Amino acid sequence: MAAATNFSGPALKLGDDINTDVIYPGRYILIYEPGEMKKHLFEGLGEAVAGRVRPGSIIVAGEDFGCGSSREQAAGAIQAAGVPAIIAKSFARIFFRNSVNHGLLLITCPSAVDAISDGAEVAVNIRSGEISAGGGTFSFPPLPDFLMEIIDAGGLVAHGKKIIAARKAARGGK
Amino acid sequence: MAGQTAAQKIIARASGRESVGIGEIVWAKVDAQLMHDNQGPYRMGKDFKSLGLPIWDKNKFVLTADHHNPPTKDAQTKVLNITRDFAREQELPHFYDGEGICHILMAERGFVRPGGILTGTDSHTTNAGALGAMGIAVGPTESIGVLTTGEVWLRVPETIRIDFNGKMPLGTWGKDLVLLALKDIGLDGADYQVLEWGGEAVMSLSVEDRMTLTNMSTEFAAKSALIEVDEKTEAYLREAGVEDGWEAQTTDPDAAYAARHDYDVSNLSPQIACPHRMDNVFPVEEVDSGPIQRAHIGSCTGAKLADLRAAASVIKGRKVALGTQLLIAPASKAIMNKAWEEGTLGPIIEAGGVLLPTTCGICTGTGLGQFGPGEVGISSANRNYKGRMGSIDASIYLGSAATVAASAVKGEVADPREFLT
Repeated sequence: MAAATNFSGPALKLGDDINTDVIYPGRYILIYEPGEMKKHLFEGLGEAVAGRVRPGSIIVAGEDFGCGSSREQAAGAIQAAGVPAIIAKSFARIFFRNSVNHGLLLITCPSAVDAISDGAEVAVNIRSGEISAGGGTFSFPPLPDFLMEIIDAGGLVAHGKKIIAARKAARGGK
Repeated sequence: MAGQTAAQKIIARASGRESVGIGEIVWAKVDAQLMHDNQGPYRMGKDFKSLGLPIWDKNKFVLTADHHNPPTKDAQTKVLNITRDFAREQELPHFYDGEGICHILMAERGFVRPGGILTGTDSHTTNAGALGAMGIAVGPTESIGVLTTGEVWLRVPETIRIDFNGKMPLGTWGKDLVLLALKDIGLDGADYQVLEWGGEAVMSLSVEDRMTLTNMSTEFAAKSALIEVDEKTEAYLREAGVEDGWEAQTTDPDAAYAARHDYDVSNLSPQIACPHRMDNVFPVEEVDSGPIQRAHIGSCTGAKLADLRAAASVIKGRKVALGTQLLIAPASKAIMNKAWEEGTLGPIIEAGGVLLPTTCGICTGTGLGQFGPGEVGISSANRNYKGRMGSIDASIYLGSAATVAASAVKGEVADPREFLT
């Protein structure tokens, strides 16, 4: 699933240090089917959070989102739930890489996080690098082009296949 | 040219550059790639095969079956069999099935070389820093890229320097140092950065005990960790069969650190991370856990030979308290065998310790001896998030293996110093 250029949705606001054990508990570590993974998303945060995730929800979180284990389902389950992007003050680096490799868009924008209240409607324009919410507009630094190419392709594997196909085409289809 | 950090020099070498600047994104060649059953072929096998490309260098690729081994559920058996099939199909020369926990195997089998970069599908890949190498965690999907090209993109990180000065007091180990720093610096204190550990106290530790610092650097959200190479490192490397073919890197005196932290350890008490965060740390004197049902010596963090020796020094000739179970899972078979031969493991078993397989076990919430609902326990492992070792309603304390042993004897979180003279 490639990231859309413009999208909007309700904010699901979370705090700092949301770790992979509460995003996707270790006891479900053997599940990789998207439909099954999304059932356990945020289980460690209780029904008050887990029950509110809807396709189109935009997660808005504080510092160090995704800290802890390298388990890829933390990114996969969020994507499976239909979340188009996460806006946070900062991301844990393994989670950041896993999300890029899954084609899940991450936006680092501390000022927007402070201004967005839980449930508020949030609009994102990737091209202009702007978030609109609660009457305010917030700019975020774009990701480097080569990372956006991976996200746009729908993840690292899809990106790799595109490259291989392009090379084959360049060699005359051999 | 401004002074360079050791991390900059390591990344420059791997990317074929004279130097690299902080914040630059570069492509780097990796010296080794690690993958385990939990974030391995079960997850990435199909995608890998769909590309139709070979593994870039099988001699630099290590696959382990340690997270689900031995299995207690059918789903784990399936994962293990897919892992074994992959090793067979790809004719992997370095597949370790139940031999030990990946990070410890990487070090003791000679896959970690000073000045190198290794990537691994596990957050504790930072462990390699105790041997002067940059261990960097990646996900299983990303590992497909590494496996087919031998390269990874890296953002050149800043470095935070942490020095522990003074002499290590009786009853304290590397674990107590890392917990003290976690209390101060916090769970997100080093996001995207490298933690460089040093100072008299750190260099006085055994190489294995230094690994506790680099291993748990990931708990600060660090990208990687490093410790300077000295004679002890060289002796460890020789033991692992690494004689030459490496070049250690050090930070230039005029290089800029993002931050520096200095601690005097002369009066350090054993440190405890209380539920449910690794930075919720207090000196052992201030902790009142009430009765504990579990005491666990295990994981890549807390079950090396140095950890087992620390535990034995406390528990030898004593007994585990009634109502508490002491679990012990050495970090590798080689460590278990050495611990038997030298008489370290015997006294722990005599005291009532239950010997478990030399794999990850309850530290990944799998295997035998998981914490039940309402249970309280202490572990020498690395994380105490809710649900980490089984039930989401269990409470986990973290401490050194010596503190775990003392706690097992007392039946509550306890100070190892009263058993040491």
